[in-house]
Amino acid sequence: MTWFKNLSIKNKLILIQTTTAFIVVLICCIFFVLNDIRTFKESGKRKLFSLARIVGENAISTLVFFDQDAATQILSKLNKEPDISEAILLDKNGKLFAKHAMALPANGAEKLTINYKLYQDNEFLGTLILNAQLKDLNKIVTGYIQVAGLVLLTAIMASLLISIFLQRSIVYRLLRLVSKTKAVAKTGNYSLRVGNIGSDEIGILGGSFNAMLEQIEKMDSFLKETNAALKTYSTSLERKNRELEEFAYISSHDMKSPITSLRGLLTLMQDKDAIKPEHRNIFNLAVNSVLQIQKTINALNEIIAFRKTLRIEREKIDLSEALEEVRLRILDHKADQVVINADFTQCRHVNFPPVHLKSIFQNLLTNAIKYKQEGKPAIIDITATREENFVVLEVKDNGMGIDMDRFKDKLFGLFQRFHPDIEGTGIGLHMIHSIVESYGGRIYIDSVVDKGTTFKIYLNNAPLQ
Amino acid sequence: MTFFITCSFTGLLQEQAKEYNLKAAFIYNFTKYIEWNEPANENEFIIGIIGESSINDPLAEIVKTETVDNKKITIRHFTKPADISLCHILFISRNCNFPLEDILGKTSGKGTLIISEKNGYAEQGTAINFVTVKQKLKFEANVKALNAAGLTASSQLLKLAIIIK
Repeated sequence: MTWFKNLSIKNKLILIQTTTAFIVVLICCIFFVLNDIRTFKESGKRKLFSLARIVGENAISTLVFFDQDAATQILSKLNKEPDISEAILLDKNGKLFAKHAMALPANGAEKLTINYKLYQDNEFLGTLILNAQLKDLNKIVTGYIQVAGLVLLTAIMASLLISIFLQRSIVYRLLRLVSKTKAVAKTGNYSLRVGNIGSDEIGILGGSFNAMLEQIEKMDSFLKETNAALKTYSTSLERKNRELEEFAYISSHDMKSPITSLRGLLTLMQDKDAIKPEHRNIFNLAVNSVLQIQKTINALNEIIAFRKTLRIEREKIDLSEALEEVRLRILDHKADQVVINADFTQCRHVNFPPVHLKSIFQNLLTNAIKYKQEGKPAIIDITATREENFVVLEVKDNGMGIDMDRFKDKLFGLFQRFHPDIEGTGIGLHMIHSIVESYGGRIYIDSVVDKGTTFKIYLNNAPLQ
Repeated sequence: MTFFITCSFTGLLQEQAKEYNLKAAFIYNFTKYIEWNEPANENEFIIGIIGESSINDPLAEIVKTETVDNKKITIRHFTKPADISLCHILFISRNCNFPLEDILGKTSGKGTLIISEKNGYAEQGTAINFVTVKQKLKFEANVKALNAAGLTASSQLLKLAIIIK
């Protein structure tokens, strides 16, 4: 029935109506034909019965006076009856008394037999048997079938015409609705409306469609307005951001040389023994402050320089090669206190900028080593797996851990320090985070103090262009 | 002559018995197709027989069980025309040698159905006369005689009879 399901409503309706009309008329025709055949047979039987009665009553005296010739003569008068093929008269003992057979062509006509018992004064005298063929029946049936066929044809034509005419009121409007929805879907013009909708179900459909279009149109214009406002806002934000970056760059850059010369001057002062011994303490504090400022300025410069490197091209890198390179760079003297277990069997490559991948490895490894637990070697497990469009790097250490309850929201902030007693700049996690997110990835950190930290880094591994 | 009779006696007797069985049945059946216009007041239907006849026994047999219009049937035997009294049917045996006129004269106008069994008797005035055609028992009917006797015969009867005018 798939073909019917996919038929257009117009054709479906025509088909349904025509089929219904056909079946109804067919049933009527069958009923009438059967009824007429039955009536015909019955009337044939009745006619035959009254013939038998007339002839039989006439033949009684021949039985009474044993006059077979007269009986045969009476029976022979039946040859004027076209349906009767044979007339037989039996006496009271059932023996043949008289018989008359008509030469009728043998055909498939329905046979009919009438037995009429003859009585006189309640005395049984004999039986008259009439054999008949309802040969007109076939003719009548054929005629009926022809008429029925004609009626059926007429009914189908009429129902076809009527349904074609009537379906306009349903299908024509539905089709208009359909073409309107198509137009809306194609052009995106939500100001279109269905007109002349009426109040039946199709009208309700059209009305709802119009109402929906109205809402969509409102929402659409609202979205457009909001979008435009957002765009303006984001442009101004971008501009301000650039200005801020510029400002930071300029200020950090411009602060660099005065601080350097201040430090040089302080060193010079120390060399010339210009400080009185009792002021040595104050001088040392000043020198420390200068060193602190210089460090901060340097970190700032580093961040600004790093920011300019984001959004460089990705390429296919071998994970173990990248890790090995980083390992050689950082593990020079503490090699005996660090164990790195790398397993890249599930995923050997990633599409990522090599500089940034190495930067991620370097920061995580240095952190793991720097914040390792006292008196224990740092054990770092690194695995890589594939998950949809991402390569998931899992880096797990057994270090001091981070107090997640306290620092959960500050993990990736600039200059955030979680272990202030250990020297550091507070830019490592910030940089990793910036890198990963700028390529559409994510970082998850799970950490328990004095147990270790697990980093789960989703690197965007989308195919290279 | 005696010898011949003795020889063919059995066969002849059988033939005769069969013939008179039929005749007796016919006579009884005639009563169903003939109307007697003047219903006699008696409570019996009388069949008279004149002359010696083999019909006596079979007719007596029928009379035992059958009735006419719910009336008992009585058989009367007459030896000469002068004896003839009122009866519904009078059967003239072929052995009756009295002149037919005497018998008819005795019964005319009394509503009596005269039945005979001699060739030519119907022409001479009996209402019904048995004849044998092609070895089959038939009967002639004299419609004038029937009407004169005040009897009405059914067309069902007349269509089987050989009509004498």
